[in-house]
Amino acid sequence: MSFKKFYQQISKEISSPRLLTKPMELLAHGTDASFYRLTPKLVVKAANEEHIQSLLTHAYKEDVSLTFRTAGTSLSGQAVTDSVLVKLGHDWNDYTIEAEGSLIRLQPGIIGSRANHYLKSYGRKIGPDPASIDSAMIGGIAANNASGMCCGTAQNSYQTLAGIRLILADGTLLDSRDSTSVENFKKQQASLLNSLSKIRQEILADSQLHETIKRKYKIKNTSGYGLNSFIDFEDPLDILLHLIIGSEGTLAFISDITYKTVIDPQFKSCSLILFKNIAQACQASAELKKSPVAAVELMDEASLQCMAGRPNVPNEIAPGMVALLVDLRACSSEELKTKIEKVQLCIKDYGLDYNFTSDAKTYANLWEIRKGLFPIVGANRDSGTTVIIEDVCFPLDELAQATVALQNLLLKHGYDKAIIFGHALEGNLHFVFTQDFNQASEVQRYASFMDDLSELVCDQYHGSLKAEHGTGRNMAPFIEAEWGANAYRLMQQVKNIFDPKNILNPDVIISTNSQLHLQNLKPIPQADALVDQCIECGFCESACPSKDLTLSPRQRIAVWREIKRQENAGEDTKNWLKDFQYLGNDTCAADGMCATKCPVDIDTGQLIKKLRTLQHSSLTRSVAQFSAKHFSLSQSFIKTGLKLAKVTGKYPQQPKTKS
Amino acid sequence: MTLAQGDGPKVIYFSSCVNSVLAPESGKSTPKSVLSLLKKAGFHVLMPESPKSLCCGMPYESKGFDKSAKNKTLELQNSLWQLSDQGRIAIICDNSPCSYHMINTLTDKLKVLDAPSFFAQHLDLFKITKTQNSLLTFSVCSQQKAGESAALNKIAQACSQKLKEVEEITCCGFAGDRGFSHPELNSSSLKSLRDQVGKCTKGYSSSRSCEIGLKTHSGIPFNSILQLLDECSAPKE
Ligand SMILES: Cc1cc2nc3c(=O)[nH]c(=O)nc-3n(C[C@H](O)[C@H](O)[C@H](O)COP(=O)(O)OP(=O)(O)OC[C@H]3O[C@@H](n4cnc5c(N)ncnc54)[C@H](O)[C@@H]3O)c2cc1C
Ligand code: SF4
Repeated sequence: MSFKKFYQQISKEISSPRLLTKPMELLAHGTDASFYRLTPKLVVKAANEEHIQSLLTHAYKEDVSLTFRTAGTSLSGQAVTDSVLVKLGHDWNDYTIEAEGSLIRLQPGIIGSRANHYLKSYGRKIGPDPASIDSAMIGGIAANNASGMCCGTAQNSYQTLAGIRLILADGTLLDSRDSTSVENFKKQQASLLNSLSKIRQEILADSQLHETIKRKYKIKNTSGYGLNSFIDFEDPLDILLHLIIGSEGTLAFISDITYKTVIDPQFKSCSLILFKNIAQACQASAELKKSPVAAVELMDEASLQCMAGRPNVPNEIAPGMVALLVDLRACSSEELKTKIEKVQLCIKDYGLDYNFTSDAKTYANLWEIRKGLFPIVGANRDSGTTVIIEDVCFPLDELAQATVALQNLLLKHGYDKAIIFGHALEGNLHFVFTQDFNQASEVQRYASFMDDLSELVCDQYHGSLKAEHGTGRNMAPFIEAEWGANAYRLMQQVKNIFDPKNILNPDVIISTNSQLHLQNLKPIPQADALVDQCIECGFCESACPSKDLTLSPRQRIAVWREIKRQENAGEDTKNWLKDFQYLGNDTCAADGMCATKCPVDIDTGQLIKKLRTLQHSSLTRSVAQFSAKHFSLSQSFIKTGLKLAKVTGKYPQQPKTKS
Repeated sequence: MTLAQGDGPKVIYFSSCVNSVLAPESGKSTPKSVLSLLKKAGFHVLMPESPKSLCCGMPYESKGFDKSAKNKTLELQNSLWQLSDQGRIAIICDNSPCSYHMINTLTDKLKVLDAPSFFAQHLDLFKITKTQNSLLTFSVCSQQKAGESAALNKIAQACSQKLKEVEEITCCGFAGDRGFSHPELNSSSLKSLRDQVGKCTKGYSSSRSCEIGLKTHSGIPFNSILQLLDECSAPKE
């Protein structure tokens, strides 16, 4: 493998501002929302298919691996690499709406909620609805098969796929909606398609495996490759397209995707219903699944404790109490009313005291309780620790026992502040806890917890270890445990068929490293009280004016943490501080818009302003004080700025043309 | 400037320093528009005595000159405290970032309002004739943070039927005067602006420094929404 040769070739074909190699930029762009840290050797801001094809061609030739990245909000370690990180951003923003809004073609750099904004006037939206939809982009949403509270297993990317344009590891392009492209592809890649058909036949011939696959996709499942493609479709091209969904950038590059859109009902109502215990709540969820509910969100006692006293949540939470947030949506107020009546009928035997509200403010309030759960744990953790969110799924009829078993497992390992919540209709539970990865004994605690979790979810309850968040590096070592040797072998084959040289996001989904989930853990050194609670989720990035020029708020924090780590380790931070001056400090608008998007209310601008204060020498400070005192004479900052700009001719400035 | 001394309620007008230093090359300056609007609406206008020496302190604060910033803030507070009869008279400021800064740093006893929000509440005091121009509006970051973006669009809607809002750009990146020293921040943030202009011939916002960058990167003039309102309005008979 020759990274050097790869780099030489690439730099001939992609302009240098798109190739980042400064150590600071590599660390900054390498950071994602997961608790893994790998620093790429090179970051490429790819602009178009030609860039991707040239990257793939040379990577294939030189055996260099590539990892694609859209918003980097992934939680399981599938968007980090120590090789080449290929970032897609604003260059991949094209879309077209077709068939009166019933189809939408989207490039991978579009934020999920933007797509919904485009569809708003048609009364429609895309099916996938991860909680991160205001930040996550289409590439990552499709490649993770992300879903959320209303999407279930019926409206995810897999189910609402109408077409993909993709590029394989060897550079072959396929546009499934273009018949010429399909014809050519069928000729060129006959052997690939043939291999997929063979796997299908093998699965159909193995009734046990066939049953396992059917069973496993009745609930949400993003562990491993989507083997359901092989039983849901006969045409190997359809199998191929559906395998790409959820493949986490390990099988092909997604250049655009066409979704069948879904109706976005405008009339909404919800209710927070309190149950005495988990058994009752889970039983009610099973009943509610038969009624016209849009979402049922479960929150355990610990979750409720976190939110106790907020509007609509009691002050005192009784031991064992569990809440269901039941949500209904409809296209008219009459329809909504009928739905409420049906739901009330459905759970009347429980003798519960609750109200459905359609008042916009109360409705939003109730959802804030649910949405605030992950951040509140993040915000209340000890600095230096990581917040971990896991995402498992159990068969619905066993949800009650499984939840209790999970609670006990967390207690057994000393995670006594963990909270559990999730999408009850799907049996999908998220649990959040904080973890210190700075000590070997703590890493060991996590390791034994994960082994036990795998045993609980896979062996005891036949659930899935990942329901929404993708396999990543976090669950790759457990895929075989979850699926069994036979299915795992087929998944290995899938990877090999698409990517025989293993250049696409290696170790993600398929890995031979049983310790992968315990390696390359992200250090979270204390950096500054203003930003220590940052969970590196990346939600702030889209609001930042400097994100495409230098660094985003998340990246500023990650870099500042690294500088502090270096300082603590007695390393020389001179070069980093020098680079940070422009990349981090000078080009921060300090407008605080990042805080408006941050789930833990961090205003990174405050950190930068603080650094600016610390930086001023006494001379500049006294000049500032002089100018403040003699403000009417100088109105200095503004005028000096103006003068400076005029002298240097920097202004007015035309927008830079795209390279 | 002569101040309107209408029969209506008293109001204090604090004009941000940027609006005099960075007055537009052509057309009315923002302070003139605001005074003209207040006059049309019949307000009794008060202004601090030596307005040019007062500053909310934000330009210092954003550069990390905390102490100087605090001094300017206190100076302004003292002046407004007396003038407002200890907070009884509302204060309007004509530049959103300054209004935002004042709201967040001055004592809560002072009633500070961003001018677009103030006038959006008082549109019924004017006789408005809509312009035929297609307008592009951009709500600046401080207005968004204050949750007051609707005010900008309410005024724009009253003044024209052909409106478009800038999408996806949350902050123009001008950052006070950083647009002068680091223009690349502004151009990076506004790179999609020119494509959004479409048929719009004029742009409106509520921060003078932001408007400079918005004009450069959109290719159309960008002015204060207060000027638009002034141009389209007459006193009610
Ligand atoms: C607070 C929080 C809440 C979340 N809630 C949810 C939730 O409710 N449901 C849920 O499902 N997820 C959730 N997530 C996880 C995550 O946001 C989603 O999985 C999201 O879809 C990832 O999108 P992204 O743009 O950030 O992708 P990235 O993280 O950048 O990438 C994701 C994967 O897609 C691959 N990829 C990206 N673009 C392409 C492409 N063009 N071609 C091929 N592969 C590509 C990457 O290589 C990577 O493997 C949450 C995350 C956070 C931080
Ligand atoms: S600053 Fe806030 S939004 Fe940004 S990465 Fe950190 S926690 Fe997320």
